[in-house]
Amino acid sequence: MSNQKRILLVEDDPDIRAMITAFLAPTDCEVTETDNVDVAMRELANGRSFDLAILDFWLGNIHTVAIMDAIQSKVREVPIIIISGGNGSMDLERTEAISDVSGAVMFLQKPFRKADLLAAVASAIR
Amino acid sequence: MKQEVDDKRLIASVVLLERFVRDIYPTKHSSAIQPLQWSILRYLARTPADRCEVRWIAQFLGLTRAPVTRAIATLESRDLVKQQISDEDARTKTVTLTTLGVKTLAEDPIVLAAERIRILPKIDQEQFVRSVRSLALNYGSNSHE
Repeated sequence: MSNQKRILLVEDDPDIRAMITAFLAPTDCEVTETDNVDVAMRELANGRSFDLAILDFWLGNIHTVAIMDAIQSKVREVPIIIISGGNGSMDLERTEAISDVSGAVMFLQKPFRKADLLAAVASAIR
Repeated sequence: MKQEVDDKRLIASVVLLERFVRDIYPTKHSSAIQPLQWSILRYLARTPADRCEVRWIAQFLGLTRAPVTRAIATLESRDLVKQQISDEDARTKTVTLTTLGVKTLAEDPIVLAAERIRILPKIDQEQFVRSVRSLALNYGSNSHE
């Protein structure tokens, strides 16, 4: 039985998505990536199981709180890491607080380093 | 009539919320730590040292550097934080909590407020959490400035 961890990555910036995927490559995790809330919600609704979710808080002007709620409603606990560089309408202090309220285990302020991400992932799925 | 009563209840609940928040901050003295300064102390307590620079703190709080620099200067004058030239870049300073800063943060009004909420029945706590989250999502503009 494979012990490979499955990660759901939701990020709308293709460069950052590619960077995160590259950062995660040495961890041998299987990464399902999307830039879209609906696609992520479909993945979860279809019963796809993940060991970790890495979500950009803002996809344009749409927040990913609905994805956090969908993950929290699962019987199996799936840790959530939120990444954000902010958005014109909401500062990061508030963004982090909303993430914490919504069950995130970690908040990374963009831009972050490879070491920061890998440490957060290791801590979340240990 | 029903609408009037509902409006009155809503306004009264906001009055209570405002009093709850105001009462947790010891603002009777002008020397009291201000909400922005508390936010900075909290940031410093849980952020890696290399991110404890004015530019990162300002980005986190959604502010320009000027008010953050002023708040840090006030905290430094009260020996709650200290600033050091960065090892990697002599043009920047990193900010760290002093021993007194760490001790002061143990009396963070936010933590004390959370303690007051924690004694409520679980269902009330959950409703409170969901309500403030909805408020924050619907009204997310910056408020420190």
